[in-house]
Amino acid sequence: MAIDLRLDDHQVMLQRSANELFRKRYPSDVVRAIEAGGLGYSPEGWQELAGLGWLGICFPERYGGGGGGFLDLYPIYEEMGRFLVPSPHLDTVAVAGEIILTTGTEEQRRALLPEIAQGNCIISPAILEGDGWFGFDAITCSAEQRGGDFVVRGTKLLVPYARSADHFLCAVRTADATGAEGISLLLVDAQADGITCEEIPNIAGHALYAVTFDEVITPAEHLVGTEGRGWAPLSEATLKAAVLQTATIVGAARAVLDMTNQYAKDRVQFGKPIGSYQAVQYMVSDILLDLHRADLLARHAAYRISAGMPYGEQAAVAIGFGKQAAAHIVRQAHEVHGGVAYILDHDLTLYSLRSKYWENNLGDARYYEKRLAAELGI
Amino acid sequence: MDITLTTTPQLELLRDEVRSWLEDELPPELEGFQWDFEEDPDRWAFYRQFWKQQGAKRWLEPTWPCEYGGAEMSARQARVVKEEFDRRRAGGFAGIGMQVGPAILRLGTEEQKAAFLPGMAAGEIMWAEGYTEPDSGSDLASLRTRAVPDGDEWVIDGQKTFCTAGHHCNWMIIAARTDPDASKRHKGISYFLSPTDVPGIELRPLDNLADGRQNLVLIDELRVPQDMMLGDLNQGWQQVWFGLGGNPIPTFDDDDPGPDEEYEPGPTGPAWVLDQLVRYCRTTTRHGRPLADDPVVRMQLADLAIGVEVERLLQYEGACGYGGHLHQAITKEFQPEFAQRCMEILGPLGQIQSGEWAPLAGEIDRIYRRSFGNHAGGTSQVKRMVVATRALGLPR
Repeated sequence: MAIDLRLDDHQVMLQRSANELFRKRYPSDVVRAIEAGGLGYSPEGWQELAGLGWLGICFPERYGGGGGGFLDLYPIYEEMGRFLVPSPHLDTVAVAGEIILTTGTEEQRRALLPEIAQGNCIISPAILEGDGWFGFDAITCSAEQRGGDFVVRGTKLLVPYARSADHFLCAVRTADATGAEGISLLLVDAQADGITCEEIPNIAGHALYAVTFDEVITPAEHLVGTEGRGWAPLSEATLKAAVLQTATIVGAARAVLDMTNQYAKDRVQFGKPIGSYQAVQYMVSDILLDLHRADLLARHAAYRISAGMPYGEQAAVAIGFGKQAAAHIVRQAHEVHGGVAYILDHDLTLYSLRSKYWENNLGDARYYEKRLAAELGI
Repeated sequence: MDITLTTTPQLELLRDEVRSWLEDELPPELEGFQWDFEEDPDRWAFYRQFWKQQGAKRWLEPTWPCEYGGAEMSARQARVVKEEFDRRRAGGFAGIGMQVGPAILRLGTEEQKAAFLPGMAAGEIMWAEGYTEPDSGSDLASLRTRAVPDGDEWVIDGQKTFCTAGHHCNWMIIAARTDPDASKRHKGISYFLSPTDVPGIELRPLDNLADGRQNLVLIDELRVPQDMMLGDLNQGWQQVWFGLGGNPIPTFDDDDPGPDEEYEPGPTGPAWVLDQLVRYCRTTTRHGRPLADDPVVRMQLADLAIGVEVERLLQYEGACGYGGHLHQAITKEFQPEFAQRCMEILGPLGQIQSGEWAPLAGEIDRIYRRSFGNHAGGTSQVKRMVVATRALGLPR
C-alpha cells in the first residue's frame, strides 16, 4: 500500500505552530470567557489566524490564499480541537469558502475569497431547518424570483455565528421540486432588511441562532452556482468540512485522554491509583482506541481529498465513526473522573458539552451512515 | 419475586384522595421540580411550602409511626401515595433525608427521634450529606475528617464535598473518624448531627453540569454535643452506612380487606420520558414522514422501552439477593445509554435547550447532562466489583 498517512514536514511544522499558538492564546479560562462573551469567538484571534495565512491556506494564490492542499488543514483542525479554539473557520472557510471556490463565479471568488483570507468576512452557512434533518429533503426555505432579484422566505436553525456574519450562505428552494433538484445557494447580505436572528440556547454554549428571512431581497448575482443545482456542491463541501471536524474531534480526544489518563494515575482509592483497576484501564484505553481509529480514518479521507482521489466512502466512514466516537470518548472520560468532572469548573465539561455539537453539526452520525450506505451501493 | 401490581377498593380511595389533593395543590406548570438539579428561587419557595402541606397530610413519611408525624401506612399504601406524586412529577422531598430518617428511627435515642423525626415528616428539617471527601469518594472508608472529644462535646475538622443542595438544608449528617488508631479504617468512624448555620461550617458552591449546585463543605472546629452522635461510637460505618444494628424500623400491616385487582400505574421516571418521546416521534415529521415511521427510530424506541421496563420492575422488585449493588449497577449503566439514545433520536435539534425549537421543552438535554452524574453514591464500576466479589465469589 503506497498511501503514506504521516504528515509531511510542512504539516508537522504547522501542527507544532498551531499547538504552541493555541496553547498560549486559548487556556481554558479564555475559552470560557469567549463562550460567555456573546460573539462566541475572538475577533483578535480571527485576525491572528488571518495574519498567519491559516484562513486562506487552501485557497489558490490568485485569490489571496496560500495555495496549500486540503491535508494542510488537518493538523490545524486537530489543534483547534485540542484547545477548543472558538472560531468560524469551519463555517466560513471549509464550507462557504470551499463552495465559492468550487462553484462561485470568477467575480464572486475575486470579491470574497481574499476577504475571507484576510479575516474581513464571515460567512455562515444556513442549512438546517425546523425538521432537524440535514438532508436536501428537509429544505423548505424558498427564494422566488421577482424582477432581477430573489425574495427569500423561511427560517434556518442552528446557524453558527449569525450575529457576526457578513453573509449567510443560504440553501433555498427556487423550484417546487422535492428532491435535491431545485435547491439553490444564495449569498444573502446579513444586513439586508427582513432578517432577524434569535440566539438558540444550546448544550455546547456555541454561538447558534435561528435566522428568519422575511421577504429578504437578494440580487440575482448573489446566486452561487447554477440555479436549482445547489445541493451537490453544498453536500461535497460539507462532507469535506465534516472530515476536518473529525480532526477537531481527534484533537479534543487527545486532550480528554491526557486529562483522563493523568487522573487515573493520580487519584488514589482503596490504597492504589484507580488506573491500576482493570475496569478503569479499559475505559481509559477505550479513549485511545477510539481516537486512534477516528484519526486514521479521517487522515485517510483527508489524504484522498488532497490527492484528488474519490473520497465519498472514506469520508462518510470517518465522519460517521468520529461522531459516535465523540460521544463515547467523553462518556468514558466522565466515568473515570466520577464526581470531580461533574462540576462545571472542571475542563472536561468543556469537551463533553461541545462533543454534542460535533456529533450533530453538518448532520449526525445517522446521516453519514445513510450516506455511506448509498456510497456502498446499498 | 412477585411484581404483579394489585389494588383494592380501599387503596383506590386513598389514590383518589391523593390525586384530588394534588389537583388542588400542584399547578401543572410547577411539575417536574428536581431539588438536586435546579436553583430557581421561586420554584424552591413553592416546593418548600408544598412539602410542608404534604407533611401536614402525613404523606411525606407515610410509613412512619403517627407519633413522629407519619400515618402508619403499609408499604402498599405508601406505594400508592408515591405513585400519585410521581405521576404528577411532584418533585420529591429533598432526598438526603431519605437515608437519615431510617437511620434515626433505628439507631437514634428517644431524644433524637423526638427532636428530628416530626420535623422531617413536617417538611421542616432537610438533611445535607457530609460523607464524601475530596480524597474519599468510592473509597469512603478512607475519610479523614476527624472528631476529637472535648468535655461533653466533639470538635470536628475536615472537608466534605459534592454536598448536593446542602445550602438549602438546615441540618447535616457528618461522618468523621473518631478512632484514628483503629486496626481497620472503617472501624473508627462515627456519625454526627449538626445544624448547618453554625460557626465551623462553611459551604462553597460547586455548580454542576446539570444546573444543580453541590457544595464543598469546610468544617473548622465545629463543636457538636455528645448527644448529637448518631449510633454508637466508632460503629458508624457498620450501623449507619451499612444499616446494621439498632432497633428494627416498625412496619405496619395492610388492614385492607377486599378483592385484589391487577392494575397498571401510570408511567413515571424514564417511562414518562419515553412516553413523551414516543408522542414526539408520532407528531414530528422528518423528511416528509412521521419520525415514528422511520424503522431506525422505531428500533431505538423499542430498545429504550426494554431498558425502561427493566427499570420499572427493579423499582418494584425491592431487595434481591445481591443487595442494592446489582440494581445500582444496572441503573447506573442504563442512565447514560438512555440519555444518549434519546439524544440520537432527536438528532441535531436535540442540542437545543429551551425556546420554541427545543424538542420536549429541553427535557432530553437535561437528562443527558444529568446522566454524567451517574457516579453519585458510587460508580457502576465499584458496584460491579462488589457484585463480582461478594455475590459471585470472584477473587478480590
